[in-house]
Amino acid sequence: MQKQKINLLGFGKLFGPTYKRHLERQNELLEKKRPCGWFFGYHPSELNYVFDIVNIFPEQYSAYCASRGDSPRMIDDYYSMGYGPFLCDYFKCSVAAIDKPELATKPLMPRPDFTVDHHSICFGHRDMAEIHARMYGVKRYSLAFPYIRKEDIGSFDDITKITEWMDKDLLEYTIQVLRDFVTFLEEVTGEDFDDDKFKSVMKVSEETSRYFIEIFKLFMSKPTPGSQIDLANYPFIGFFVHGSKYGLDYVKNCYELIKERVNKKEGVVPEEKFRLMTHGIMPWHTLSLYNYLEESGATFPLNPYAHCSAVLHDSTKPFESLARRVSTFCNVEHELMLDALIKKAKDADLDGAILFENTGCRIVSGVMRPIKKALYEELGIPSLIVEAPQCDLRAMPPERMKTQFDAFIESLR
Amino acid sequence: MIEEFYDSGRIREYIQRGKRIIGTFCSYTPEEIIHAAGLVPVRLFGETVDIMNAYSYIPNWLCYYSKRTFEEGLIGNYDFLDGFVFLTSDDTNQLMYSIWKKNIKVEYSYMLQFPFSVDGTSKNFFTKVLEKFKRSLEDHYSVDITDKDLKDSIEVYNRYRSLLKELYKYRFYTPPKISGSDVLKINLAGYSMLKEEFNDKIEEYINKLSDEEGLPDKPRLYVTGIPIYDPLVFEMIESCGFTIVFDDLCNGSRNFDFEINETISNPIEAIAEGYLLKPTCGTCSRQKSLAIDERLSYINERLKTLNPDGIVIIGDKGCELCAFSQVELRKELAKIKPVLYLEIDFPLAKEQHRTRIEAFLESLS
Ligand code: SF4
Ligand code: SF4
Repeated sequence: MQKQKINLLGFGKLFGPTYKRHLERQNELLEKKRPCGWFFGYHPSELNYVFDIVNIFPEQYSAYCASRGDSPRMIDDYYSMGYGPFLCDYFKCSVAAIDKPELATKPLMPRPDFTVDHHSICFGHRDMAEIHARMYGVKRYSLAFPYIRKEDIGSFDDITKITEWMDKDLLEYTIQVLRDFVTFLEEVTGEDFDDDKFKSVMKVSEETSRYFIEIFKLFMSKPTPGSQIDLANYPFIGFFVHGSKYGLDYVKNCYELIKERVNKKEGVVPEEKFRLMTHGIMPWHTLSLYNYLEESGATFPLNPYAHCSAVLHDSTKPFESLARRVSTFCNVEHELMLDALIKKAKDADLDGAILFENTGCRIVSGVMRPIKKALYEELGIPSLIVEAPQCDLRAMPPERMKTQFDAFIESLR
Repeated sequence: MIEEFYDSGRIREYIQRGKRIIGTFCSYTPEEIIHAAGLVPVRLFGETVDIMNAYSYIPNWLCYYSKRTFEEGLIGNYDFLDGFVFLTSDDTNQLMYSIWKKNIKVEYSYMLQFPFSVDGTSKNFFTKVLEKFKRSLEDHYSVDITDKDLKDSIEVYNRYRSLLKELYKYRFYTPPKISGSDVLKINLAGYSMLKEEFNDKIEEYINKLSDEEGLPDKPRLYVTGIPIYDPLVFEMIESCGFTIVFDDLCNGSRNFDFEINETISNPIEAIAEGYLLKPTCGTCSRQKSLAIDERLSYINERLKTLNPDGIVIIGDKGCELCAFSQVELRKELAKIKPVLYLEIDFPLAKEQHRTRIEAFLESLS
């Protein structure tokens, strides 16, 4: 098969300076002895910018370890601690980084003063925050946001996350959980909540969310304008640094690049042969796997996993808006999720789907078979499910994955 | 006598009496509300060992409990169910609710939001969640659940819990009056009975038990870990020369070692508070405290009173709660008593486990 040349949008190049700004902020705050929190899941990151908290993300750190090739030996250490195979790789890597820092990718995460969990994406976040807090002997704060069921919102849009309605009690509760968390942060910092600062951070957040949404919509253009490699940093911006100026600058610049590409009707490869959806956590150890498919003309206009990063904000109602965003849509009742996903799959005019099942992650893995079934039954679209833990390439060596991809692409012809 | 608790025809008999059966999966399910609606809440066990169909729908590395219950649902062994109620208790339950709803046809299904953190905010929210659940049952089954109905059900369930507490005490005697396996069997039988009927039976049983002679004295074990819905596991352990004097399983003491405050005027609020404060499974904890520490302090208190010879932690690789907590539990409990960690799956590798249990017994002597 003739390999095509991939024309990246260049989001990755923009990310370097963005990440540098993030680290500079962290270092400055650490020097000033600001409190350091380890955050798990889709926490209200905006509040870190209001309170000048050093924000550390063990999941992102674990993905980084995988991309640097260090995760296998860290995962071995995790097993030697007595843990079993069926927990997610993010826990495996982050717990090993505490247990044996000498094995872990540098720079290490700074020691936390507290951990924060949020378990509406997954319950694992709660356990991780708890175990990490226990290992360091620090406080754990639990953000008990609700799980979204069909009767709570009716339906939602996969990109904007605009809901048909939202149950009043659920919304009020989530806002109260956020307000209680503000009280906790006031205790941690010894400072009062700065309402004006909050409003301005939320403005940044709203603008960021609007760019996110436009970018994901443009990504669905024909031909697909970008590569999955371009999107690889989106969870970082959307999950962890939403509300930061550098996050906003990043998406703004990305938007300019993709808009220009779409206006010119250019694709990521010269000849798009198949349009695929991909879902599931990216195999951080070998992101080039996406390129392997793209080179063969199979592009990815739709990635609902990356879409988790986008939720339309309304900064005129800052707490309500934040409450809607943290009522995460990454893990909702399947009926809701499948409705939203099928609509987008139709719009994207797909030929197939490649779904990553991340062993140990019940949320992501459990949803892949229902998605496969729904895509086939409702749109006649075939899917390939690949078992691929996100940080451990030994469980599914890339060469084996490629063989599966080849067979799948062949079946689409 | 134990056999009297078991009656495979009981559920059919309830149905013949016009009762509807609601399946439940978690010890945080406030069965009082279901009971007050005139329905029969039944905790599902998942008795089948051969998983032939479930893996087309779910990953094969999930906990044995979710796989077995779902398999039974798929093969029609739960065709007596009129409905089921899940809780958002962990990722597995969240996932399985959607999977059940799509694939197991029943008249009624409901997912209860569980808030996990114990504080004023979560108590208010959980009260509202339970009020909505009550309304949903009322609408679906065209019944009116009055405060009196709820209070009556609370009374029945409080009695149920205190009788089980009483029954557990007969294991503490030296020598014990009842084995751990027999207690588990009674406990399991209670899950598919109307509690008022179970209460009468167990009361009669306890009265007789008080006159019984003790069992042969054997080394005493405290058991903790995953839910055990199969008496085979306890029988295997006890047949190696132990008596299980206490278990704090989700379907053991964590299911009854609490009560609902009958003096709170709003019964739904009382139920919300009672369940939020029940001994944690490793899910729920007070804000700013860790569930694992709360579990450890519950276990430690009982270890102090019971002074067993050893502790067995029963694990399941696929159970996320166990997978996260077992390392810390093992480490902390080993500071107090000898610990054996037994990781099980079904079909049970009995011989292999027996060898380890017997070696553990030897190490204690
Ligand atoms: S990979 Fe899955 S289990 Fe792990 S943190 Fe993410 S959602 Fe949770
Ligand atoms: S607590 Fe464990 S055994 Fe129970 S449903 Fe959850 S994962 Fe399964």
